[in-house]
Amino acid sequence: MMKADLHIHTCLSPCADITMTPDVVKEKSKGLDVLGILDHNTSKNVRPFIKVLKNKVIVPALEIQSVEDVHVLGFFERLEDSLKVSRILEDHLPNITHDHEKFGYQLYVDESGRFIGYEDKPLGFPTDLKLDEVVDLILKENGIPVFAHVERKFGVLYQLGIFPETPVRITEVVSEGGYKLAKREGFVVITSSDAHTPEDIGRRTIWLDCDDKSIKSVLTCLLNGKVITPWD
Amino acid sequence: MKLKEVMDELGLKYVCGELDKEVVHGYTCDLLSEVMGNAKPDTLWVTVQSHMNIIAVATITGIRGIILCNGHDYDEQTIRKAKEEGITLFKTQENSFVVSGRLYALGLR
Repeated sequence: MMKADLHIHTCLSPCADITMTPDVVKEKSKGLDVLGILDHNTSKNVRPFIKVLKNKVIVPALEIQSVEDVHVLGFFERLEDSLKVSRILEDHLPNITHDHEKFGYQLYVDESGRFIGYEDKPLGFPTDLKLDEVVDLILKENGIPVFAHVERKFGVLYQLGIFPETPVRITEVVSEGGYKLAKREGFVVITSSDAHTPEDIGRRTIWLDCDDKSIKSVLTCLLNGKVITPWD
Repeated sequence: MKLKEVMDELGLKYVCGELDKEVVHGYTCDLLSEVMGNAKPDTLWVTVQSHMNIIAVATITGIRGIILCNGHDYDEQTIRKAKEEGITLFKTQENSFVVSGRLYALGLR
């Protein structure tokens, strides 16, 4: 069994703490075997985390905001695929320059935890892609789409009131209430921290009944519902 | 029209920000991208969205104030950000339709 927190933001997300760097995440994720590392609408800060956290399974991921303001996670086996999606999304974000001072720094980091650049695209805003298009994009590039924090702000239930008909089979929840709603609809249910600060890491986790310590095995586990949440 | 007058006329609950500012337009919508694309400067925005991102949207578009409807509450972070950015916040138990109608009757367009 492997313990997983599949929703951890980095210092590239404008709303995340600038201390969400590989070294700090490593320090704060002791006891976890699997981490999903992501940012809003991009995976472009994931690579240094893979290098620094090489004893863990790091799932390259991103959290896409649809035009309906619904957050959808994409989990990928290959970083190249999630980076391809990230590049595609750049053309679907608002055409404005991000104000780092006003709305939070979007920082690229290297393996040593040093900041090496800014991202000026406004990552914290909705893309112009409809929910169906977001899901299709993730699937087309070999990713697994997951509805993020469904019962909370920017979650699909919060925004739309229902689970729409889509190929999405996995949902992330943050409460027992959300767990029950998603289970009733037949979803595989996970929970994760949605960490934006180091202290958040691991505050909600799941156990995965995995064959081996690989991304492929973790993703297969998710697809097959071999997941144990705190509410199972 | 001054925000103070709007607040008094509609019986809005004041949350934070200046009341002396003028608003000319109203805009009612809950999708951030729609608001970003369509709201004019000097607008009073009617919505049920309370996440911190509404302040970024307001700042970029020139929205002066926000009325949060249906008895929703703002996040603490949203209020903090609104104070920093000088966006005036109100809330009300009424729904967006009723609030919009009353704003229209007051002369906002």
